[in-house]
Amino acid sequence: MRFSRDEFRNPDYSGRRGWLKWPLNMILGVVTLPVNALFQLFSWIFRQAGEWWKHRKLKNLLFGLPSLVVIGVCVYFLTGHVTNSRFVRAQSYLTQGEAALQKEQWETARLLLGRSAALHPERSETLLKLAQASEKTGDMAQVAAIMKQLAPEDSPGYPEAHLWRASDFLSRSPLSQEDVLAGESHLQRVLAARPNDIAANTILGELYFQSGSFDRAARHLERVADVNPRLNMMLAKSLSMKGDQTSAAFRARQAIGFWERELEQNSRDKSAILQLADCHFFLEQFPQAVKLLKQGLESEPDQQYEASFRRALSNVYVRWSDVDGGTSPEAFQQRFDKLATALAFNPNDFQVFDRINYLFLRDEETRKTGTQVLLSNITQGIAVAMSHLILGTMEPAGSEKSQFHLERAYEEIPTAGVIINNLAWSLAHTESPQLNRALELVDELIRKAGDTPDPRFLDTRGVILVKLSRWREAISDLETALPNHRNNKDTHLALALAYEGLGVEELARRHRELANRAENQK
Amino acid sequence: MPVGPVILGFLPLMYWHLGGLLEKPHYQFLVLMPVTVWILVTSLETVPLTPVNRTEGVSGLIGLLASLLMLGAATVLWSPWIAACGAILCAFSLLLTLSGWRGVRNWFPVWVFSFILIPLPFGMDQDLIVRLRDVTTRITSSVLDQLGILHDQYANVIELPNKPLFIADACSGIHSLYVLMAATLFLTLWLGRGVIHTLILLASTFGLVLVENVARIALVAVLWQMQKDFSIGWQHEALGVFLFVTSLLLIVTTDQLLLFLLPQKIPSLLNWSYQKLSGEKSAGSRKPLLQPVPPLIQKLTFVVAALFPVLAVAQLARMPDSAPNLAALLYEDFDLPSLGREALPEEINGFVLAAHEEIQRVPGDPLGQASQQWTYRKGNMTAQVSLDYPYDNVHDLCECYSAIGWEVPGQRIAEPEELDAKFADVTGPLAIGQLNRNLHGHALLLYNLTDTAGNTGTLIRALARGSAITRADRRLESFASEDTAAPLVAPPWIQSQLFARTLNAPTPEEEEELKALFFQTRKMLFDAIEKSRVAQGGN
Repeated sequence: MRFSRDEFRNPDYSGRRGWLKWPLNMILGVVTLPVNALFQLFSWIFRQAGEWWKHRKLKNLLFGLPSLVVIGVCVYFLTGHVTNSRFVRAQSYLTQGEAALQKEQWETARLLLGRSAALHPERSETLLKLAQASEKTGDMAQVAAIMKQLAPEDSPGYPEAHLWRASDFLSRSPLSQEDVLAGESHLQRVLAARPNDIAANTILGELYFQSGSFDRAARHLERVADVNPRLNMMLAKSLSMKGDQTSAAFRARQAIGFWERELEQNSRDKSAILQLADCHFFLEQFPQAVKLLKQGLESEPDQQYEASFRRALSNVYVRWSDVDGGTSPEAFQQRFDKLATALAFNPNDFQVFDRINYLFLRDEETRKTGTQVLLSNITQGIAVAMSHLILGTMEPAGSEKSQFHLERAYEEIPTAGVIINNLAWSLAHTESPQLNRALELVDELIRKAGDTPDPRFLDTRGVILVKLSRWREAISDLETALPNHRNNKDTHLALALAYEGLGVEELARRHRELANRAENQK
Repeated sequence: MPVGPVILGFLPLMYWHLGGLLEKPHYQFLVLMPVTVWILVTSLETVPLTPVNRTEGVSGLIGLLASLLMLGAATVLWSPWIAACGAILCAFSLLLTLSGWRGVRNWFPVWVFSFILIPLPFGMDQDLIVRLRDVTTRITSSVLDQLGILHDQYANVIELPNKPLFIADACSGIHSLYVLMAATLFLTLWLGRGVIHTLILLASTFGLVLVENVARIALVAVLWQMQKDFSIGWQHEALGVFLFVTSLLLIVTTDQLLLFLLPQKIPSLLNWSYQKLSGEKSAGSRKPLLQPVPPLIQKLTFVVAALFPVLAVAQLARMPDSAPNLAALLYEDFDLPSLGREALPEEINGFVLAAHEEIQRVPGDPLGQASQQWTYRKGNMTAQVSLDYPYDNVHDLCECYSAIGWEVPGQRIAEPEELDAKFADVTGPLAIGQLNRNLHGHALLLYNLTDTAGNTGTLIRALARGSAITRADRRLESFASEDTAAPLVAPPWIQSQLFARTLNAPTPEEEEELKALFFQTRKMLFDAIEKSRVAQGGN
């Protein structure tokens, strides 16, 4: 079967083969459509090109040359952009940033490393260096943000970043339990990657030491104490608390050697003096400790360290008096002298006062001996304030003698909290109580103590406020002091009175019962 | 045909529209529009007014009715944008009614040119600004890399060692884009270029604007490396003018290049439209009038025209209290006295003053043309207290921080009633933005603006416009100006801001602490400004 050209142009569907021509024409038309369309398109383009060639003016091209130059420049930069890998650029910025870090050009380093990090954010090393630069420029918010990225809470990250985050958590103030746990978790991640990391072991050792986990503290400190001998004393204390006294003594002696060497290099290093004294104190070498501390306190007075030296001296004397045994009057005098000296160095030290009380009130015999010693002291001008304080405290509260001795003690050392507290108590318990003066004294004492006044001062003020019928204020003070005075008859009695005053009978009844129980236990 | 009443009907809203446009720096070139229109008009061939046929009369009436409806809608919604669209449609309808397709064809270039009065709707011009800034910054960064100039780039900032360059509107090309687009349109209409030629030239202009602005920033960077600061001052202005003139010349040369490249027999817009609508082969061979406009259509046209002034009266009753701030153009010279470090104390509530800085930027920089900054530190927290000025209106500082790379996951406006209970010296609302940024941590932003009469206002545009989801539902409202709610009393405005960076997301306690610092320092600074003015005997 053959079709002529005319048959395509003017199809005739009649005749013998008419039923076949129509669909064949359709198929042929569809098949040749793209070719026809392309042909038409190219024809049009050629016609337009011909027109363009005929009418083109080179003058227009000449005037259009600046645009062509701009297009060329754009193509040049576009090609450069496509062919320039971001990783290569990131590396170049990192190199330049590191150079700036070495030259201590912190801002420039931060800028270049920031760009490198933006181009290649997966590279932890760059981020860590960026954090270093940011820290130097004081941008701690950026440091924290980078460290968070490098050391996530829930998965292992970069050890240095975990270490930084641990330090951040543990340096918060006030430090919450969550902060401690988060800090510990980050430190454990550091140790999982680097078991002998000095900083992580040190911080973790200190953390466990402070939280009383001496066993774990010793484990971490032992790993680093040889590298960092400053930690020997903490390790010694941890070992001692574990019960390993031999190793503890060995470590303490190592610590002494280290701090002595430090002092040889800088004899004015007050911190080193305190540390060395602490080592001697730990080994119960009290005379050496006292000598060092006195030297430190007397040479070049330094307000920053003065309080620390005084506290340390007081502690040494108290512990020394504890160690000194014997019941002879001489031994008694020696112990009293030490405690009196301790109180002279730190007049607000309650532990000194407690020990003196204990020393004098153990039994009637000791009390008599003690009273004689105290009276002798006053006549000879030895520890006058302390002697008056003890005598005033031994006398029944509110008695004339008690008041006299305490007033004298107050005149001698008007800043001693123990004396002021006891004087206020005595004034509140005389036959005609001087409640307003008592309140003034103890108020001033609490104000000076700041946010954490001693519970004993609060207890005293609470009792005075009860006597003034200021029930609510009294309850506030007494209940704050109560955890430290659970078995104190006076505290419960004062609370009972205050609740009675407010008409809260049930609580008053309960406190009265507790007061009776405390009285019976005596 | 009474053209006067129709024009009268559009006057109030068109005044508002033009006023609103002229407030925006990128539309201030419109002051040249009368000159360009005059040039176009003088280039038109003089066509005598001839009677129109029935189709033209009916079409004109329909167009007039549509524009009346648009004006009505614009009056009800107080939308100058809809009124401007209606005015353009109305102009077309009037031409058709008065002189038929022949008149439309004759005035077509002027009519097309008038479209430059219509900004992009739905805040798209704002979106375009953001996109252009972004594109310009990225391209510039790539060019600087290839030129070997070390820098950092984030959001709309190119940072050179010791020199951050914010890509402000003025630098991102939004200003020159609009004016160069208008210039291109004028050029092609004036020279009678074809449709394809015009479209290609407009597209090329867009590219040229990008090139111009990339060149501007790259040049500033190159010159900065040569110890020459062209980022501020007259040098920056001169560089801008030079590049703008270069761009204009490049448009002309591109036009010539297109003349060379494009075949000349491509149908032009004018020929196409005229032939299509009138059915005529050419302008000279007009068919004789067969069907005159029926009298009813003529009467109806007059009635519709008479309704326009009624809407003008309705607009006068409906218009807002405050007029558009045309005087905003005059604030470029506004300056505050230099308050110095001593204007704020060395320590406030534990915050210790660490640094003081005075900064000059380019006009139109969203962070303020000038700033006086005091940096306080407390622990690891840094709080930057700043006065930024001048602003011609209340603006959204959260958007500015967004433009320099910060994300704003939380933002709200605290009303004075809420603040009064906790803080002293509260004088108005306070915008609060919680920000964060990758590798930069968290921040808190507090700001409001005060004008010279002491009025205080603030703006968070996202809250004013609603979220992206609700924006679609509020389309009609978004035609209207977003800023109409803000009081426009005595500009320029001075912005007080506190930008605090913290290690972790600020706690409620830290936020309260920073708010207190903001109000305290703001009071001290405004007192210092007042004192300084009294000392200088100014107002």
